[in-house]
Amino acid sequence: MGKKILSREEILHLAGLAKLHLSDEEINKYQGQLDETINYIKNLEELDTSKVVPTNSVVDLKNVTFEDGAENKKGLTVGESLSNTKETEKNEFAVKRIM
Amino acid sequence: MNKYIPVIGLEIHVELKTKSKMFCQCRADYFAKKPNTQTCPVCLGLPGALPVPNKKAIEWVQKIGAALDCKLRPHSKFDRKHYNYPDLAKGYQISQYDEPFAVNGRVTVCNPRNKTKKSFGITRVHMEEDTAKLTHRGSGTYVNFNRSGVPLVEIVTEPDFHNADDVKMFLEELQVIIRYLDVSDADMEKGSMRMEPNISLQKITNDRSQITKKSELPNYKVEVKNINSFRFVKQAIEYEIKRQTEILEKGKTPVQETRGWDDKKNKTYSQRSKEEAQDYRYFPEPDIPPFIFEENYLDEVGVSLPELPQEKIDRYIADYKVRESDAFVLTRSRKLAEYFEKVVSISKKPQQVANLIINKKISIDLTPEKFCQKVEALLSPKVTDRKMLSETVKKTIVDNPKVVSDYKAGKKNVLMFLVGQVMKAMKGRADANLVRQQLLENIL
Amino acid sequence: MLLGKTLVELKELIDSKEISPDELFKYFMQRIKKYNPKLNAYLTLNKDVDFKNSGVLGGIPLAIKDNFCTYGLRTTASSKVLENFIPPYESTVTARLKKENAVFLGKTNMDAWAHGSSTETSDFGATKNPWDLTRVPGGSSGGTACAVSSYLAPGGIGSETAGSIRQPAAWSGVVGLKPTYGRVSRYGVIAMGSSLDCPGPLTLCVKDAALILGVIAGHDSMDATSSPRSIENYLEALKQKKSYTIGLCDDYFEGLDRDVLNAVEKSIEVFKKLGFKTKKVKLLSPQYAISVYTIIQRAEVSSNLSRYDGIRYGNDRRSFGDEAKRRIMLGTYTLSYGYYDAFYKKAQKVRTLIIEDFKRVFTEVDFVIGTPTPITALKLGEFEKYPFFGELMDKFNEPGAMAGIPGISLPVGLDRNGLPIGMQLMGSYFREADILNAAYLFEQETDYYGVIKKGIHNYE
Repeated sequence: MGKKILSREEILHLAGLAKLHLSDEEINKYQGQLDETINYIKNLEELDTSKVVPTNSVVDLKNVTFEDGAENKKGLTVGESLSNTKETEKNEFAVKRIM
Repeated sequence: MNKYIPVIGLEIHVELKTKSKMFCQCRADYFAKKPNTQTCPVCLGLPGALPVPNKKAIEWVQKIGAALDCKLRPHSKFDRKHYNYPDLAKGYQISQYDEPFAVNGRVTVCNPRNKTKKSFGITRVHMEEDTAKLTHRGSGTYVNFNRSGVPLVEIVTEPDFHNADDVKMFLEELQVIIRYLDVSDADMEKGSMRMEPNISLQKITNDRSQITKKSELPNYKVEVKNINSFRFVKQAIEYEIKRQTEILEKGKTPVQETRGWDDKKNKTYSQRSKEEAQDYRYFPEPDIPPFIFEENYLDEVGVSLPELPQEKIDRYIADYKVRESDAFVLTRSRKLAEYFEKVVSISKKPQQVANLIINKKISIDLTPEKFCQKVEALLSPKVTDRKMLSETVKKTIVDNPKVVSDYKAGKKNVLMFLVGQVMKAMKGRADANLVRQQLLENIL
Repeated sequence: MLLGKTLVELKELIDSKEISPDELFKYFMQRIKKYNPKLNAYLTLNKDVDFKNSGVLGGIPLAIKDNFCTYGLRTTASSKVLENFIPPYESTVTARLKKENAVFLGKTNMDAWAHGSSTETSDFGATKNPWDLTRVPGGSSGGTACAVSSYLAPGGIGSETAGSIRQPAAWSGVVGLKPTYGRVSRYGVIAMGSSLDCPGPLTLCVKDAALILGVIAGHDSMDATSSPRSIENYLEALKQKKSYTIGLCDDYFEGLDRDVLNAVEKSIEVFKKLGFKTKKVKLLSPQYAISVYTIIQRAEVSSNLSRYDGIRYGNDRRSFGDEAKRRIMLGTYTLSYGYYDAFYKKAQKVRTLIIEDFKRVFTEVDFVIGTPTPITALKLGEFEKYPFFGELMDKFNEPGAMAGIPGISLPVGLDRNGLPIGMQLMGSYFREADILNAAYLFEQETDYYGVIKKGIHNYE
């Protein structure tokens, strides 16, 4: 086995950014699988793209906006807003104190 | 003697007062509304909801950019900025990364006290969305999404500031400009204007010009958040300068970090150090197509701006011959400045009108026409009661024999004293030239 | 006998009062009760239904993939994270179907978050292939494909990111249409790859696909990427007898199972018989599109799944399954500081090349022919052995998906194991009417060699 592209620390750093809690088993597994994928996707290096403009949007659209003050057809009632949460207090979403 | 020069840059957030939020049609005026009554799938970050940008918000951020003398980019786009916090509905904020709506501006601020002008660089002006509001009570944190998605403009300056006074002066000017544009209340107490200075200290060397070179800026930066008044900005900066000086004096380097401002203890405190610094993983927002603007359109944004406070000051001085300090005061609000201009256009006495407005001699609640009438009454040549004057002059001469004899002995300047006495007795209702003339006639 | 009736046929029966919408609904509910326990096509059945005869789809029952938000009807994207999520709003697609008085039988199983090509990543168990219960139906829209193939619904809605409609349509033996990106609104569809996602129909015939597309397509002010271009009358388009030129690209015949290859070649002969011309074309190798797709889709996935923090709805991030975590990790990596240019930006540049490539080819030909999948349905458990296998399986769909072009998958025969084979036509942007027209001509000529009918009659 060659050296891994992503170290254990990097895997943990990425998991931290993504707010995922990984078990040791998962860390090892993803380390191997991510390596495999990264090695594959490196084939793009074969293509010369030095003069190519990146595509951010495949649709041929620009300046798509709505008019300020337009009727709000999608507004939710407080009840609807809170309908899927476990913890509420006084019509607010509640989480464990963070400060 | 200071060994260090503070290097200060600013990030200012301004909430726009559009009717709708930035990416949905919910109402944006969240202030004092019941929690979570102004939400929809978009600003609540429900699965499957998609953002559509508010046209007016983009027009307004371009207006701000133009007012700060920025270049408005013909190509712009939104990007996703990722971090996790309960106030962020989607786990990312829709913001702008490498193609902000406006870049490379400059703001010149005049200081009426010492009559100096200073100019500060604007790096960029971009559009983003506000987060939900968090309240901390007891063991819980509570989240209200009414503010989530309210249009937020971020203005980033160059690190062009070297003292807290300049920062305060600049921020005050910026607030005035934004209010001139009528795009935000820019009210710090309500949170519609927020600022985050970043401060570091540069050791002074012989070559003072080096502090302007970016490559030689200090190798750390301390950002201070949660400041909600101009006074606190000044205090926080001064506190940081002192704190960092002490660290540097010990031969150490201050930690690069984000600090908060505690307005009760008047000090900053550590919030987050660089080790935990975020990697925001920006990438172009796939839900929003790009923005491409015609040159004509962008030119028009600049042309359609109202006259800005600094331009008004220059014009008042040049055209109205108004004192600079007065021009400054008159231009602190667009409403006041326009009132002043209206009155002047009728009465044609700019400096006197300026005095009357600034000294509050006449109420500006009056219509400009009424104001002018009062101006005329106060400033027009006095109609003098000749009989009363003649009696008063005679009485004054009798009452002041010593002064009269001094005059006759050649002390010509004592005449002014006598004029003053007459005017006082006449309660000002006399023409000073006439008083002088009568006095001379009676003395001789 | 209702068994196997298409949407168009059922609509005629409703209009002529031969059957009422509630009778029809009950008919399918009974079938679902009978067969769903072994097929696991549906996750949630609908109870609150309002029957009306009026409207283009008045009284027509449909199966809806579980990533479309449906007001008051549980929507999970087959993930434990959303196992109790009851949307307080309606997706544009389902709203448009409801406006025409279609009724929803229920929400169908899928790969969790649409991550997969087999439905095996569903947190609620895999859906079985109706042709062979030891095999997968394809995915991610496997639940809808299975439901239509076994006639637990006369038609349904799926969504594609790259192959998620066409591949399960091929493996389950039904018609699957992936429209142009932006033709059908994404509003209310639980996002997977935002620059790729595209809702579309899975049906028993081309006419039904045209009927549904006509209802769900069109501009939506709630989706900034939806096209303002007016929609065509897709049903009318079927009446034309146009002759088209079909492009043949060697790369799109590489690595095909011999039965699949034979069936596709036979289809080309059918088109020739119909008067179509063929022309050799050259396209960028799909192996690059696999990489572009992997990078961009994972990046968008990592971003789109960051909203699931368990605060406003759903369970927290510990409930993510293996595949979602793997994708989030890769996406986070390619977007993270220092890697963005090498991966994401590079991929977006190659994406430009892919788009230009297709645009060039579509000046020469009307369609590019191929298959949505090089092999027929795999056994349950096969995908798990190779984490990257799904992307390789979808390699013929990924280039078109990256470009945002439309395509259709049609059943064109059975392989040596009696499993359905799919053939696909890809066309240029907004050429859905022509794609449907060509597919309809093919259908009229072959009746899919009886594949669709045979599938249904396995479930009498």
